[in-house]
Formats: sequence, structure tokens, C-alpha cells
Amino acid sequence: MREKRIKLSPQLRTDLTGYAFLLPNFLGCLLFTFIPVLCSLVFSFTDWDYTKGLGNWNFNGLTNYIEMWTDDWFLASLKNTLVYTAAVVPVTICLALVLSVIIDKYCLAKLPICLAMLMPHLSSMVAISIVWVMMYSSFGPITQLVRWFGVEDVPKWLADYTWAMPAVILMMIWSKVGYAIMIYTSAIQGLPAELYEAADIDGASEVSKFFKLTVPFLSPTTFYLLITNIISSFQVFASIQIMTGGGPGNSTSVLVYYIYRSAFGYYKMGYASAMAWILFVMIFAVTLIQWRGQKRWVGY
Amino acid sequence: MKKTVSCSLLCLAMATSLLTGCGNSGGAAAGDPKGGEGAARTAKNDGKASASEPVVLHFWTGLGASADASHQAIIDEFNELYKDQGISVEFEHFVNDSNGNLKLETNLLGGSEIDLYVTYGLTQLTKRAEGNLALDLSELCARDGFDVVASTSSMAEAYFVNGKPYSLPTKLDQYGMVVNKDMFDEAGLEIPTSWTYDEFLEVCKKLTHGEGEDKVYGMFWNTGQDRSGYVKYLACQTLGGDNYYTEDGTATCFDDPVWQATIELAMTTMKEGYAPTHADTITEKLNMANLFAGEKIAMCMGPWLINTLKDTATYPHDFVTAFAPYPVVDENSRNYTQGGYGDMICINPRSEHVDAAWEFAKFYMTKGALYMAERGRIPAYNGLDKEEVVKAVLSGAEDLFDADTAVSVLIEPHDNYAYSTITTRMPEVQDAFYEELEAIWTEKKTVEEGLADAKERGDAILAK
Amino acid sequence: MNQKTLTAAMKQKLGRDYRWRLFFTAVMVLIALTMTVPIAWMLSASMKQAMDVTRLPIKWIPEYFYPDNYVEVWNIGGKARHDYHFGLAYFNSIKIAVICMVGAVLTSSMTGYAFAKIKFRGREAVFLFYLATMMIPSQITIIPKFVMFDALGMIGTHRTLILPGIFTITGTFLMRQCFTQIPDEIRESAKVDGAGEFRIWASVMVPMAKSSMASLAIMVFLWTWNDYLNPLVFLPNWKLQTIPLALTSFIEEAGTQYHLMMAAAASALIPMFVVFIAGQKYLIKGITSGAVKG
Repeated sequence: MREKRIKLSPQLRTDLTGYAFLLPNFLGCLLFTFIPVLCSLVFSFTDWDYTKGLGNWNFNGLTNYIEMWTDDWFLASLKNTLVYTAAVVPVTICLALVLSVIIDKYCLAKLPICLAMLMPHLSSMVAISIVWVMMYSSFGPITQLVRWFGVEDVPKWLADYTWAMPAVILMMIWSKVGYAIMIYTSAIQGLPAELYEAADIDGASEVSKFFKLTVPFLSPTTFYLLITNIISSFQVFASIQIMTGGGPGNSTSVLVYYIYRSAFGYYKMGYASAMAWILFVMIFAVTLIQWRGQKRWVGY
Repeated sequence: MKKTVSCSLLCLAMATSLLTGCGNSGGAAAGDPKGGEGAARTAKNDGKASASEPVVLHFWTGLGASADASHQAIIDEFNELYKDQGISVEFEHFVNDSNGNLKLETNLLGGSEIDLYVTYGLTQLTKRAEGNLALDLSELCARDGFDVVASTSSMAEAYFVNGKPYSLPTKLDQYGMVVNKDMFDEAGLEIPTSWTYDEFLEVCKKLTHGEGEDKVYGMFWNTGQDRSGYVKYLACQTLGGDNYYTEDGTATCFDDPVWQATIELAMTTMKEGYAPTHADTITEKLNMANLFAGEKIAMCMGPWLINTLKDTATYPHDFVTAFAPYPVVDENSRNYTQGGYGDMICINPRSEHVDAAWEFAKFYMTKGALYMAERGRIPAYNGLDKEEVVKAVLSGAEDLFDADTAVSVLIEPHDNYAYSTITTRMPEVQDAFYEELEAIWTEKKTVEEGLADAKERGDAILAK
Repeated sequence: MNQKTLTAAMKQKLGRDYRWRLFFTAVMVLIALTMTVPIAWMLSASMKQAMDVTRLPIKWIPEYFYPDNYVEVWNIGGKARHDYHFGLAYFNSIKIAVICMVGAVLTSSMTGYAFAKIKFRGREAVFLFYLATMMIPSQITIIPKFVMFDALGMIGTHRTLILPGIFTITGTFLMRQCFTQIPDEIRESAKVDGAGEFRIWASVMVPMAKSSMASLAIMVFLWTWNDYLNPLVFLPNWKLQTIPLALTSFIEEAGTQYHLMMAAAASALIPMFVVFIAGQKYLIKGITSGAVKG
């Protein structure tokens, strides 16, 4: 027995320990996530209509993948998704970072403020959507505010082809900021106070402390928020379904909304799976770039 | 690098092996309609029959809690009648929207949890029949001598798929304009029994008055609930049930002058302020029941309001509601009557109690329809006494509805219904049409442009 | 990091920065108030009658209070016109959410720690594989999952929600980042003391990660509580339904009964508040370190 132990190299032991820790989680994810995902890959090469039951499909190779690039709805959804992500993610993260530092440093009623910030996350999407639809209505506060600034011909926001998407973007930033603040706040608790005190003694300004100390220290958290927010923004669905139904026209249709409609509205599960995998490729590429990049800016 | 590659390969191998393993068993259990699983089911049935265990049927309805009273009454009577045979029914709700239908269809695919359910719409019925989610009822009909067409009308054939009945229609979708009789009386107008678009426009104008919060509109198209504002109910009176398609179904007919006139009519009412605009409907989440009961609109499209208007606790009002037929383009164009069958009850082919389910389905369609009439749903079954039906429809709110027009517009059967027979790629064609309508309603395109684009897109979809 | 020196230093600062503090607090309170608007609307709508809910302009404080909506939703004293079985849905939601919360925190922190600190071969690749599966929209995997659960005979039980709920990839990611932030020296010093990996994780790492674990717990609870698509497809029987499903029973052919739905949704807020306030202790109070300086 002792001889066997000596023969196991330290690296191998580390490997085994690592995988042992991994095992329960890995098995569960394998069964409930990985396998369904691989199934969807298979479907993407077929013309499956799920109401016909499993197995009643024809393989049609890359037809789905080629067809989507001539599909107006797909292209519009793709564009909307990219615009949406590019607008929501950076604003949410920067805003959350700044606000959580401010809350931590300056604010007096921390607990109520943090609690309030999280409200959108706790509220049901139905309630949020209805309230925002009302806020955007002709009697709502947003229209009143814009009028107060002197604009006469206020757009109809959610019923307007150009303004519907910005209106939805604003709502999503508003609803996501709170959660990001919560994550940042818990991370800020772990910041080493001694370095800040040292910086104070050296006479550093607030702004330089923020950029030289806080931002780098919080970079792992920022990385987490960046990745998860990008992934979730690429996958936005419920709020679009409830607030605008993709309209007017297809100006707010996003990829997952169109995927859902294709799969369960038009019964084109194969086509929808193909689109889902294209979406995956895009997200993966973006994430991979960030991943490689993290070695440079994450960690201290 | 080597480590990364070897590790990924290992993961992939594990995953694939599990996939094949799971996939096979999954296929056999869930998807295969005949073959192995079916045989196993029959064996189970035989065993069950001899032991005569009590059978509980699961019936899924897409109507909400407001119809519970009627459903419960039907089920209570059925349970009583079939007590000796040990059959009883329980019902379950699903929401009749895309999410809810997804729930219904996945559970139909999955197994025998559902015995009977209701399908709302010919397109869905066709899909479900072709996907073996609804049972072909011809054998059961032949066995019991139950003739669907004789029990309803020749229109029932329009709801057969490939010439076979896959459902029992329980509701007659004969609609008309819902109007506020008190407002008509005040304006000195008669409830019309036949009118053209122009006359309709005049009436809208006369019934619109007030400003701001006190404004009362003549008409409400309800484009929030259905983006088309239900304009096809008007157009179908001239164009028939296949009003999207040309006669042979290979192209669309959105360029027809009747469509032009119909959309123009709706647009004019919105532009002139006789009806709330589409933008207002969306941005203010206008709700037809609230507006009508709140006396903010004089007319609207859908008699499915009957059940809602009976609920005076939630929608307090005291005016009389009357009904009028839909206006037509001109005097000579009333070719059809708007109508169809709905609330089609289907049996799950994977159900373990097909015979029992069949008994309930027949019961629901025949005697049960009287209970559903209390919810404002006119029975499709022609074997009920008309007086009884009228009484049921008006029950509990006799002084809130005008009985004469209710009968003549909603209950009196016609023989020239505009029902659809062509459903080629209907969801996609309809979506394209609705998108163009939305562009028209928001004045992004003129009526001509929108309809021309709709035709182009519709034809492209049908050509694929 | 010594708590006492921190407070003393802060007290010195309070005097100088007093004006900044007030200013920022005011600004944040204003922003925080806008965040509470939907909840405020929800509460006000739950006290209104059907026709007044969507009336514009919005009357935040209704002219009357109509608690009947709550009686209707909860069937208090059996007086409701229909029994929506909301209490049952409430109980189901709590049961599923709590189990998932506990399980997810446990498995994620173990796995996250492994990814962060244990340098086993293939670590990067497996983690990227994990991340990759997060990128497929869940709507498309519903049908394969359904087929799998059906094969395993799980449809119509809560296991369909609990088992996948215990294994969360986002949670693993969060825990990994959290553990990355903890300096390696702490682990080294524990190893020098002779602890095995599991003991290091349990006795040293977990206490240090309390803050993030609390965030994770709250996140999993919220996510399970508001999950709609999974219960929709996997729970056909009303006896098993959760709150998001129960909310749809207020949707009728004629439109949605917002006054009842909001009363239900408002009631559903309470456990979330409880969980959040309980987790707050760990979020705000923070962690104590000093093990390195010793």
C-alpha cells in the first residue's frame, strides 16, 4: 500500500483530487445540460418538427445553416441582438462599478439602498413590463420629462419602429444594474483596507485610488459580470416576449425570440436549433477572446 | 496543449456514450406512436379492463378560471351519469398562448397524462392531427353511429384533416359587432341589421364625442390583442374563408380591392379619431373589456365579451349590450356569413382510456354545450332546443343583453359560413400579413404599399 | 484587515467628507426609489379593482383600498369565487427553491474552488466546456430535456426541477472567481499545517467566501423562484405547480386579470425579501481576514 502511494506523482494526485471535487457537479451538468445541448446539435442538421415525435426527421445537412442567412427575420434579430448587447453590457457594468463604490464609500443608509437596488431583480417580469409600458405611454413620466425639455413631437416609444429598441435597452439597464451592484458590493467587502490607508497616507486622490486600486482589485468580479452579462444579453427573451412581442415589425425581435417562435410557433425545430448553434458560436468566440484577454487585465 | 486536447476528448467521449444510451430509450418511450409502446399499452389496458378499476380522465382546457363554473357543472353531471361505469373526469388549465400550447404539446408527446384536450384553431388542429397528437375519430364514430356532420352542419367537414374527423367541434364561432344599445338610443340610431362600410363610418362618427379623459370612441379595433384588429371578419363576408389565398392556394390575395377597402375603413376611423389608434392601444395597454364596460367605446369586435360582461362584480355596468352583423363593402357583396367552429375537443392517441374519453367527448359536445352556452359560447351541436340555448346564453344577465339581436346575430344558424379550407404555411403567411398591417396602422406605409408588400412576402413564403 | 482601525479612520473622515456623503446618499436614494417603482405599482394595483388597474394617468395611491383581491387569490376563509390553489403553489415554490439553493451553493463552491485553486490537468479546457454550455439558450434544450426526463420517468415530479437546479454553471463560475481572489498564501499555509484539500475547502476557504456564497444563494433562490419555462413544460399537474405557473391562471380569454395577478405577485415577494435580508448579513458585514498576517 505504501509503495503504491509513493508511485502516484503529485501531479496525478492533484488531478484526481480536482476531478473528485468536480464529480457531483460534473455528472449533474453532464446529464441535465451537456447532453440536451448535444441533442440540439444533432437536431440542427435535420428538419425536425417536434410534434411528429422523436426520430421522425430527415437529415438535411447544412440546409438550415445556409437558409438562415437569407431570412429577413433572422438578420433583423441578429442585428438587434448585437445592438442590444453592445448597449446594455458596458453601461450596466460601468454604472454598477461606480455606483457600488459610491455606495460603499459614501452612503449612509447602505442596507435600504442595496435592498432597493435589488428590487427589479425580485419583481416579476410581468410587473416590470407593465410598469414600463405605462411609463412609456403618452401620459407616462418619460414622455412628460422629454416634453419638459422642450421636445414637441415626442415619439411613441414602444410603438415606434426606431425608438422601441432604445426604450427596451433603457429598461434592461435599469433592471440589471441592481444585481451587478450586489455582486460588486460583496466583492468590495473583500478589499484589503491597508492598501487604501497606505494610499491615503501617500496623499492619493479619490479618483486615482479608484482607478489604481479598486478597479484592478475588482477585475475578477468585473470579468465574471462581463461574461455572464454578455451571455445573458445575447440570450434575452422573456422581457421582449412580454413587452413588445418582437414588434413593431421586427424592430425588437432578438435571436432567442425568433428561435423560440421558429421552434414552437412554426414548428421548425431543426431550423431553430441551427440558429441556436450559430448564436452559440458567436457567444463562444466573444467569450474566448475575453478569456485569453483576461490574463492581461484580470488579477493582481 | 496535449493535456487540454486529451481532456476534451475524454469529456466528448463520455458525453457521446451517454447521449446514445439516453437517446435510444428516450426515443422508444416518447416518440414512437405505434409499435412497441403501443403494444405494451394495449396489454395494460386489457389487464385494467378485467379488474374494472375506476378510471379518471384528465381533460385539459384552455379557458381560464372564469369558465370553471361551467366546466365543473359538466363534469359533475357526467360523473353522476357514469358513476356505475367508474368513469370520472378531472380538468386542468393551460393558457391558450404560445407558451401554454407548448406545455400542452410536450405533455401530449410525453405520455398518457392527458386524455382529452381542446384545440383552438384549424391550423393547430391540422398540425396536431398530422403529428399524431390527436386521435382519428372515424372508427369510434362508425362504431357508435355518431355522425359529426349530421350533429352539426356540413361546415364540420372543413375541420376534418385529410377527410377524417380528428376532433369534435363544440362551439360555433358566429360573431358580430358588440354595441352599447344605450349609446345608440341616445344618438337616435337604430341597431342595424345590415350595413355597408360607408354607413358604418357614419355611425362611428355620430357616436364619437368628448375630449381627453371624457372622450368616447365610436369603435375599438382591439389591435393589441390581435394585431389585425380582426379585420378579416369583415373581409371574409365577401372573400370567403380562404381570404388570404387565391382560389388554388398557390398565392396570396392581399391585393384584392376588398382588402383595400376594409383596411382603409379601419385606418380612416383611427385617423379621424373615431377609434383609438394602434399606437395608443399598445402604449396604453387598452383592454376591450375595460373600455366597453367603462363606456369609453360604443362598438367593438368580439362577442367573447359575453362572459366578461356577465361578471358585474369585476366589470360593473348597467347599460344594455346589443349585437349587429358586421358591415360589408357594399350591398351586393354579402356572400358569406362570418363563422366557423371552435373549441374542438380532441383525444390523445396515447391515452390509456380512449373509450371512456370518447364518452366524455360526446357528452361535452352535446349536453355539455348547454353549460358552455352560459359562458356565451354558442353550441355547435344542432340537437339542442334553441330556446334553451338562448336562455343559457342570457342567464344571469337578462337585463344586460338585448335578446332579439343576440339571437339573430349570434345564435341563428346560417348556411353560408366563410370557413377556411386552405392552411398552407398559415402561421408564416399570417405573421407576414400582420407585420404589414402594423406598418399600415402606425402609418409607416400607406394601405396600398402595405398590402402590396404583404402580397409579395406571402407569395414568397408559399413559393418555398 | 482590522475592523477597529477601519472605523477609527472612517470617523476621522466623516467630518471632512460630510457634504459628499449627504450628496451621494441623496443621489443614491433617488436612484433607489426609481428601482422600487414596479414594486410600488404592483402593490397599488393589487389593491385596485379590475377596471382601475390600467387606467392612465397612473394613480399610485388608490382612492380606496380593495383587499378583496387577496381574499380571492388566497381563498381566505373559502370566500373566493374560484380556488386558485395559490397556497399550494407557494409551498411548492418554497420547497424547490430552498433545496436548490442549498444544493447549488454546496456543489458550486466545491467545483469553483477546484477550478480556482487545484491545479489539475485539463482545468482550463473543462472550465471552458462548462462556460460553453451556458451559451446555448435554454429554450432549445427544453425538448431534449423533456425526452430525457420522460425516459427516466421523472415527468410530473419535482425532481425535474430540483435535480438540474442543484447543478448550476453560472454559480460555479461565480465561486471560481471568488476563490481566485483569495490569495494563494492562505492555501499554502493551510497545507503546511498538514490539511488535505477537502479540509482546506471546508474549514478555510468556505468561511472566507461567505460573502459570495450568500450572493450565490440569493441568486439561485431568485432564479428558481421566478423560473417559468421549466415548470411550465415539466409539471403538467396543478398540484405540483409553482408560483410563476400559478400567476398564469389569472390570464383569461378576455385579457389578463391584473388586479388578481398583482395581488399574487406581491404575496410572492415576501420569501424573496426574507432570503435577501438573511443573506444581507454576509453581504454587507464582510469577511474577516488576517490569517495571512497572523
